[in-house]
Amino acid sequence: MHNKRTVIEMRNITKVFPGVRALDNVSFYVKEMQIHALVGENGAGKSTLAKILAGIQNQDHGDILLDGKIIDIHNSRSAQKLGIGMVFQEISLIPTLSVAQNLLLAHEPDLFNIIVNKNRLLSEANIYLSKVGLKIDPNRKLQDLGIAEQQLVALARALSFQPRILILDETTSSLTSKETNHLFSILKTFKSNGGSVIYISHRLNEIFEIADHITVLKDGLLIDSDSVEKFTIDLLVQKMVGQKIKKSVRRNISINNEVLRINNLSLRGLFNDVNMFLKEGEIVGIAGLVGSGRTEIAEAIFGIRSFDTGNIEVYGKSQRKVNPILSIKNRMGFIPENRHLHGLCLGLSIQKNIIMASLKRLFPKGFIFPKQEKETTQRFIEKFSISSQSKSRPVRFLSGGNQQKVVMAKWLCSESKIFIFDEPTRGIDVKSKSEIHQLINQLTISGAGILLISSELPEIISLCDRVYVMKEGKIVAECCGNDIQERNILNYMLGANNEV
Amino acid sequence: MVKDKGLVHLRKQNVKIIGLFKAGRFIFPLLLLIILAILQPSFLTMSNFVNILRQSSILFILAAGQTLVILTEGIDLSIGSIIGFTACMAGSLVINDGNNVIGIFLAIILGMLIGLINGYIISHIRVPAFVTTYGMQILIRGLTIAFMKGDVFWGFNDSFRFIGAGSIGAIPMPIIIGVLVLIIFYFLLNYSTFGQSIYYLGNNRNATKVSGFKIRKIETIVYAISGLVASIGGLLYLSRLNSAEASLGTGFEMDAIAAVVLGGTSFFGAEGKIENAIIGSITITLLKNAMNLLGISSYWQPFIIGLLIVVIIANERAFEKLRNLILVRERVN
Repeated sequence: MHNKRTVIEMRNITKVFPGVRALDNVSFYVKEMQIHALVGENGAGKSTLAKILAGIQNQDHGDILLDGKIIDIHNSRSAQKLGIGMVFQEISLIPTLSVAQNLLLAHEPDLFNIIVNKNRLLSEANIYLSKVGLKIDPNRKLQDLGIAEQQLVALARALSFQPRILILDETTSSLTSKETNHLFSILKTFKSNGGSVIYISHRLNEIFEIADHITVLKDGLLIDSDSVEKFTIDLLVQKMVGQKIKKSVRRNISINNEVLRINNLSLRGLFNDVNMFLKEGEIVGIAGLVGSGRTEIAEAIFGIRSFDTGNIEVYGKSQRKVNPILSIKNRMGFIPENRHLHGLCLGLSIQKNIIMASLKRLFPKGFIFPKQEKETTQRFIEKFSISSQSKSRPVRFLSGGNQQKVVMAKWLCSESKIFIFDEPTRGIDVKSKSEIHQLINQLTISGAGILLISSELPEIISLCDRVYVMKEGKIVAECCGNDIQERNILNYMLGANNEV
Repeated sequence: MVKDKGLVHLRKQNVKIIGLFKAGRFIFPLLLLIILAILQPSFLTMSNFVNILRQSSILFILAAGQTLVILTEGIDLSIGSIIGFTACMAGSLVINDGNNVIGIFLAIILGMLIGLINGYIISHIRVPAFVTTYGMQILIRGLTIAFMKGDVFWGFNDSFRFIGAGSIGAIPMPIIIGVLVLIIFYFLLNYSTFGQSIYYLGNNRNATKVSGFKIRKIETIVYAISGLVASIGGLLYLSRLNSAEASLGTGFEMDAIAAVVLGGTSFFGAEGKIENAIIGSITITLLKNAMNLLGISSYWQPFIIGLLIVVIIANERAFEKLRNLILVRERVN
């Protein structure tokens, strides 16, 4: 137990993305026959670290050593050759091919053998599948399998390269506890055969069940790295969060009438019996992991997605069904998670994008008066200080921050009073980010009610008056006032409280 | 500071390059005009000009409808058949009953109805536009053939012939109607919320829906308009040709699509203007006229038209890529 060899070592790894230091001088090592857990909040740098090891991204500084020798991992193929296999958070296989084809993809058993020997393909596929205990027909298409089975196929594929080091990034996030146990037994076998595992998960209970060693990352820095016996769940959460206290950027705002109420809203498989309310002048956060149902709830409230049961009350008017047209009439605005998909017409000008949701209100007879259109939009371009040389240039050529401001301007132009923000600052540079935070804050001064969904807890904590925490499609907690603390929210999000 | 200056200089140059790209689609028809004027004196006669404009007008009317459809990222392959069907129905009424008004009215209503069916299938049942309108092309042509049973209607009365072959003063009727269509479509695309929503829809369906537009309704209306103007173009053509048979209008959809795309409207939606359809229509008509005047064998004419369409469109795409490259480089974060 004590004298295990170090298999892989990362020395002073630094990786900088525009506007953010994803990894800052991180050093850590993994020993043989060790399951090494990487934990941290969203954006702590876990996935970046894993991707550097798997050859998908390159570090800006620092060395990676395998068996004490410096190695160069320039792509995923070279990672495979070095014995590093990875199972990704998102499925990275090809859904339209069969299980067997997916398994043997890029294996090239015979380099010059153009005609694929189907029987051999199947028999080899069966060997790999049996290693993960999956009893399925290898001829089935991947897309016909459940997510859990697809994850196991991905694992089988990673194992088929006979790696010494296996990286699992959030592999269990879509698995049931039974499937997770099955995965753990595979990992334990892999470990007892001399392999090492780097295991990334948000589920802290699992980590204590499977890991030998835990490394905690926060904001790209290595906080702690020690054997599992040295940690408790409470201690781990504390280390993940740091010692931050609530620093409110909000001044006191009078919170008055209720503008929005969601009653027992359910959509099978996505969210269940959700109740919320929102008052004038209030910013209410929805915290939760990706896949907790937070985006789906937002889409259902605005009417992009339907719901099975429950109702939505806007200004006291109860609605069983909503759609965007109705929501806009109800003075609601929706700033989507993916602004390219649901927010902007990338090929059209700033002006045309800003006026988009107000066209019918401004010109009810159907005739556009260009002068009025220009004057209306110009106000918002100035107010938001959207920088661009030309207003007629397509918004495709704006930076992410400016694009997001255009989306916000669109909903301000339509005179919205209720705003739903879904990840308003994702992928946006630091300067625009604080500008957007200020704008959100200003909105409440003029009496708007705001629902704010974010993966970044600091954002939620600094902006929100109240926070709903979602987990697996349900609201598990509501935090107000001094309860709005990172540690608190994270506890509810990860479900550490109810299970210890 | 020196660096800044360099950047500004580059931008001025870029403006010129982008300007050249925009002018590109005018250059080709102009060049053709000059060559023809030099090689063939009869080209420069007034009657030939009027002839070219008259022919372009009918093509333009079809291309105007097709422009709306292509702006929504769609395509309408059925207009050739709509022309044949509605012209034959109108022709039969005019010949048998001598009732021009009812014949014209019926043709326009039928054209719009077929377009509505196209639009409904595409927007509500979500069948791709290519498949829907291709199916409709065959179906409607089949209906026309079954209706005509090999008959030919010809020899229409003078007042019916007036709409396609007559003229007010020195201006032929098709040109007058073409200009009317241009004015209406120009207004529609530039100064109406409906026209604006076509651009939104073609650019980003999802965002348009989120912004409170009834995207299915918009799409349906667009195909209805395409069918409607196709039947108008068909009536003009029938009136000038003075004979209706089941194959009338075959292949017209391709000329219309070529005119739209040659004019510079993007095949990928949301980029383009009604003016482009004029340039495209005149270019294609000029080309056909030129080949006749120059005595190019009719066996070789389709080949040359095809070749030029491919070359001009490839050239436009290359310029567009260059322009985007420049804009991305200039982008200031």
